Amino acid sequence: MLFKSATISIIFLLNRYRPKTLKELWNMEDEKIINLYFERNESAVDETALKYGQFLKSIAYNILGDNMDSEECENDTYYAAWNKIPPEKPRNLSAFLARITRNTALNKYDYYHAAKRKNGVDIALSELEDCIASKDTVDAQYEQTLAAKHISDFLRETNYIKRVVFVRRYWYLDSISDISARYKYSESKVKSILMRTRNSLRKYLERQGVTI
Amino acid sequence: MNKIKLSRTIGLIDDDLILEANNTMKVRKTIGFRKIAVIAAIILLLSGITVLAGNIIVYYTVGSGYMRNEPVYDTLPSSDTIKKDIGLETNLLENFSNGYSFEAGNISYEENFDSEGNLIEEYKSLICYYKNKDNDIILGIDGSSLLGTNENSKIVSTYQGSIMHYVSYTNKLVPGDYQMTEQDKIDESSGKYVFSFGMPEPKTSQVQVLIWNYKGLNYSFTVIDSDITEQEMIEMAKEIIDKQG
Repeated sequence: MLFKSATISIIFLLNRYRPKTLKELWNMEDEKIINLYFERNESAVDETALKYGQFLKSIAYNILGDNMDSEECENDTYYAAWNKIPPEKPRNLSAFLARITRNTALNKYDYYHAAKRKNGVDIALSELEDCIASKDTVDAQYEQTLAAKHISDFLRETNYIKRVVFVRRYWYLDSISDISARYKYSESKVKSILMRTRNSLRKYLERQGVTI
Repeated sequence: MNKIKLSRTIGLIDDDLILEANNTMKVRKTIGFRKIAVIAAIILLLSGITVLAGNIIVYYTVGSGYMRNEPVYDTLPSSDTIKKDIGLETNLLENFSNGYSFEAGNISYEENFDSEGNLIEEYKSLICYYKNKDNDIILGIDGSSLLGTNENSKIVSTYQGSIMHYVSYTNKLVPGDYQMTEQDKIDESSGKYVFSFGMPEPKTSQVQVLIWNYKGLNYSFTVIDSDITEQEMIEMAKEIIDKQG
């Protein structure tokens, strides 16, 4: 699977960069894959795995830190996608799949970590606790969605680098060292960016009267 | 509050924010090869499958940039749009007289650092892709205080008071974990090769860059493994200058 992905990339390179063609190809592939789901063609899963397998597994691995569990989440994602499409027709297949994987991994994480062990995910989420006021009794989907909308709005108004670092840390649950490696900042710089962004987010959410 | 609930709330943020953070990476580059490195980033970013597979890091020594995976502009952006989105006052050409036509445009987010790593400026630049049959040429425009020439570039033309610099070099694209040999380091410092990291397999490309400044903006043309001549690039640059009025 990896070999095939790499081969495709090399083909792109050898053909040089043709932006529109490439964009069309990218979108067309997604559309083609979605159509396969609609046709109930089982190769939909193979095509999804070929294009997104590594991406999905990396999301699960960030949460679970275990290869076997991550593969299981990846497979659960294909199963869920198979059941959801149709009737759903994702506007963006990669985000659609990534959300499924993330939720599946979090469910698994929740199940495994009822015993209160602290790992990287705990640490990442603990950092955010001060931003969003706790209100355990009010956990309605509506309020959660509203809070997420405010967070999205806040991120859009935020400096580009702060935004992507924040999303890497708290959506993809990347470790500080992974973010540092990805963006070539020192770990202390990443921590500083995150701290300032969290502080700004907290103030922003307070102004919006957001509680979860 | 329950951390899982908290994470699920964050998990509901909009798709574009999730994709943006996955489709971008940082590019570090020498000031002398600012545009060059951006082009390497374009190639890597647009081989989207590789990016999604992760572990893509391209870096040079000074300066950095970010770019979205998918083009922002599918049609030629107007001067007003460019001004609004990027803050640059420029007029783009839809077509050049030698047959190149606008294909797509992207916004690159760039930072320049001094030799001690202090941020000296942050800015957006416009990257446009033009196509002529099987040939592509990439136009970069920014308002940075640094033009991006280096000791290997030569002055090839002057037009309307604008001095044009040209450089041609070999770009070695290597895997992210590639360990540079002593010879590689010598070749890099001599300007013989520019190294780009993050490719699944090694590849060598021939790159040509034409750089000029006009009315306070830096412009560059970059081609990779193209038959286009230095003179053709100069003529295209002149057309852009004429378009600025």
